[in-house]
Amino acid sequence: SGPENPGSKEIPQGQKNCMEGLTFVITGVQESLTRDEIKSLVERYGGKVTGSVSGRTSYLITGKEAGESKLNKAAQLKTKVIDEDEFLGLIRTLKGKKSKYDVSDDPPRNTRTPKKETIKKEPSNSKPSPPKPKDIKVKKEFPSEVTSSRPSSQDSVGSLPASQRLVAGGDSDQLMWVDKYKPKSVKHIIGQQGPNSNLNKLLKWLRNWHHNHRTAAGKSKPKPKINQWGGGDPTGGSLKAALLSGPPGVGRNNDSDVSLPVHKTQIEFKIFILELGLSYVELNASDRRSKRSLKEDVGTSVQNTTISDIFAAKPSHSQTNHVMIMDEVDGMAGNEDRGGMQELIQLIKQTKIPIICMCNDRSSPKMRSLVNHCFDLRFQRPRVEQITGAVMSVCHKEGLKMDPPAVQAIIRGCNQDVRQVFHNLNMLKASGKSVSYDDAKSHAEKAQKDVNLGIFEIARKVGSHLLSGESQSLSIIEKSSLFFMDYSMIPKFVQENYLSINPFAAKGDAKKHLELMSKTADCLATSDLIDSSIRSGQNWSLLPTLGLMSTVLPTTYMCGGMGGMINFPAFFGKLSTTGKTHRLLQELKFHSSIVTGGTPEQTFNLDFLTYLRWHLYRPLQVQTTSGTSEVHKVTQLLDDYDLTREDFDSIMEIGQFHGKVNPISNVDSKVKSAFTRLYNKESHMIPYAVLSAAAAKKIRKVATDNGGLGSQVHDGSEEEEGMDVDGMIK
Amino acid sequence: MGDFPHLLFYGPSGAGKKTRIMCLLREVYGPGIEKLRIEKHNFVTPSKKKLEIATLSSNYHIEVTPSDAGLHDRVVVQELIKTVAQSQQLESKTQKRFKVIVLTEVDRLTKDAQHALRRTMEKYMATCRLILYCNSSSKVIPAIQSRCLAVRVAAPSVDDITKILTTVTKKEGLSLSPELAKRIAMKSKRNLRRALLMCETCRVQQSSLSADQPIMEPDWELYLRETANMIVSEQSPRRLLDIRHRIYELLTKCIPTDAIMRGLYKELVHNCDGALKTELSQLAADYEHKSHLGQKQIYHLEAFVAKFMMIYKQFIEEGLDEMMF
Repeated sequence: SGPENPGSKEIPQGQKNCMEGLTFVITGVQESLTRDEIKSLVERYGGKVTGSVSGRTSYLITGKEAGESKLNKAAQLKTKVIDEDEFLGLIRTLKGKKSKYDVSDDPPRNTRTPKKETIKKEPSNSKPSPPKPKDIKVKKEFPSEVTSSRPSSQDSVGSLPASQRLVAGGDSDQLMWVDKYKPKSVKHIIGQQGPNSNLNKLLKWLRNWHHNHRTAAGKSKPKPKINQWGGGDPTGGSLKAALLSGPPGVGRNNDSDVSLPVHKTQIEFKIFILELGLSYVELNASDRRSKRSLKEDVGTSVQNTTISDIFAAKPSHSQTNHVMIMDEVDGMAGNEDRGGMQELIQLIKQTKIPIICMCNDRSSPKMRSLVNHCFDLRFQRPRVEQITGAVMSVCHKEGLKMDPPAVQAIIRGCNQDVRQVFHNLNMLKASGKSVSYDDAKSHAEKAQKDVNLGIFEIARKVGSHLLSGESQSLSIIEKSSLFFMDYSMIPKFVQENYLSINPFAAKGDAKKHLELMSKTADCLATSDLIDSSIRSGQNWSLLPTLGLMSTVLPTTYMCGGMGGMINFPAFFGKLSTTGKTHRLLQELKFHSSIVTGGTPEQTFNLDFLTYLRWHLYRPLQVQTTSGTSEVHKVTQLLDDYDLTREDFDSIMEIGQFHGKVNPISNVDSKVKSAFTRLYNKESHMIPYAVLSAAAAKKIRKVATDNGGLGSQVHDGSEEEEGMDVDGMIK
Repeated sequence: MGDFPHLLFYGPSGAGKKTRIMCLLREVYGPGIEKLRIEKHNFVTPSKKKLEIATLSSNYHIEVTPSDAGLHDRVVVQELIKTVAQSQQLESKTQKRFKVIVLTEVDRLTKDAQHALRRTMEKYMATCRLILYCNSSSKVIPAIQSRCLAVRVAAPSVDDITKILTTVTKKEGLSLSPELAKRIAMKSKRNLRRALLMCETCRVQQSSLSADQPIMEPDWELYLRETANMIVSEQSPRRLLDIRHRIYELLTKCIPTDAIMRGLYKELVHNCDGALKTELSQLAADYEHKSHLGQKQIYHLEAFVAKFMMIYKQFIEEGLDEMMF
């Protein structure tokens, strides 16, 4: 809900950074300021707003309808509770401080050794890139004597050829910040410093790989451990491959200084791998990765030893410096890569070197089989705080004066995309030396990147903007642009949730509320008409109108406080249930059609079903354990209508309305099993072929046997073909 | 002799359309028509989707429900019906010159499919006859109606049903009191199929039929009635939410929207008087029409209920105000 008299109070001008170090929690409705306004005020003056009261909270700002629990907690922790006026007073009275982040006058801290600065162009320059005949890039940056002594990062850096260092050092001023502050070692990768970080896990895994697998590989007999794939094994010691997954786009291709080594972050992988002194073979989506090519090209190479190993003094150290990277494994699809996934799994089973797979979408069905064979490492986007530090240090080095809140505003605006943050800062730097919070905020808004939102993000957006009091302040354009985020989902969210809103316009008047509700429902009904016109007639030009009717108008009518959580639209679930019922009914109709003379499905459902169902469960209900066999009547009835035991179940299911007692539930289990037994014992003459589950499986098996191993998993369509074998052929 | 034009049977459910069709076919082809077999036919739509349609056929006729294919019913009409219609009878001396295609639920056919039917009906008149049957002729395009001899089959009167019930029970060796027969006939809403089912259920419930024994009604109708009562007893957004769940429940059980709409209307109209009655009827007609144009049925049903809640609440409060003064 919104403030009663927005803008009624004058907002004082406070001193700079006067709120630094203070933490605020906001609860309830203020008289003139919205939550966002207070938040941006606090942030402007260097403070922080958090969601819940804790020991570190300095002030709790309360208003009308303040949260009970927050007040209690504040009282418990003796947090100062203030109202809006007092808050504004605070701004007036608090003394400005010098920010500890204020870097302009500090002597530049010497955070980096010059040595590291010089090697910014990591070996990517020196890549011998011309693709080899079979599209495999084999890189061997280091001779094996370096690896055998397992060098630390500094050592490996030191071992770089001198010429390379020179090249790297020269042009750093011309570079964009993004490239200038590229991570140079594992330690510079944001959010991966902790001992339990994914990167460290990977490091450990790689270090121990040969130790873990030497015996297994030598005897070519899988250790029993291998069967407990990943489950509970935090080091992944038993697994021969690692799977790195994380969101694409944002912060992937390794952003400067900071970055998450997600998928496609080859650069830092290269760094990383180089630090370990390993050489690698890489395959990505641009390579053909079909079953055959994998087998022929890679299969041999994973069992190879490198030439230098052959000549090395100690043969037992062979292969320890070799890694294979399979990039974009989720992109292995289509004709080109047919059977590639199976072959990859096969490779993983046989490999003598570690394999690292990378992908975006770990949950994709294509990945399902692979995941079982891999040490699963999931990377998340770095948090705002994690990025802030790195960004601040860069700002400092470049002499750009920025407050942490300003930096955070930009980071948020860029959606945690580190590269974009740096580009933005680079641009800001070009226009001036220091950036205030307000500048940064407006800049960040302008620089906001369009992102594809997942369904849950959409739900959150709808909840926080459209279906709450906030929508009062949104213009029609803003609302309809929210609609365009996902024009098929957002209306359904609105439809699902509009009834739990308490509209302001009703002012507690039930009659008015009903009127608004009816208007909204009418709008939604009209929107459905527009929608079907769009979809059946391809009238896509009506889309803005659809937005108006399905999103803008309903949220205008029903603008108010939302009671409870945003619900996911039930529509989809119900639609698929309807589809299922329809299928069952069609089956029933088909089975019984000779006896009923082809009664249409609808008639069957509306007239027959209740009675047929009753006649089917009634004997089971009255059956006593010792009495005459009523069960016989049921099987007889099923036979009369040419129905099967499965049909019995579907009749029970379709006739069962929510909230009604299930007549079968209180039937004695002995009776139920007697019924099943009797049914199975009797032979049933039915005028159609039943494709039982077992038979279906058999057919599928035959189909896949013919298709060979490769065709098993890839395309769902193939499995369907197996199922489509005529039902009349047994 | 023994020839007839294309036929269109229409009338409410349980009135005897199918029975009449079968009688007609038996008259034309003899008892061979009762040797039925069921088959499944496979089709591929232009969009490469595979369809499976079950048919019921004898040597002389084939019965299809093209609407089983949903949106792709046009393919069924084009492929199956055309193939059957095109094939000539081998021996025209001993057999009839034509085959019969029975199409059920024609009112659920899409417009596309109906248009596809037009040409077939004219072109293959020599080799086949179509018998269409449906509940409402209003959803059959005029072009098809004009190509058929339309036969309206009205629901049997209460007296008819009573008579039939008495005959049937006599044959089953039971005695049915005229009161119970009449009650069943009323309860069945002049649907003979349902009346017989009700009667049989009564017999199982109580081996000797008594006049005042309860008659079982279809579950969905009971559920719908409860829903309507919920609407009348409270009008609030929360109640509408409950109603939405109940309507979803009905829709997932494949209860058609018009049946829900009709059921709600019939229950609600009892609680209205005078002016409100006409308003409600207007509303119901309006929203039912919209639901046919649209795709998401729940939106329209919900809008109908919401609107009714609003006007009903106003009506009740006005009534209260008048009582006060």
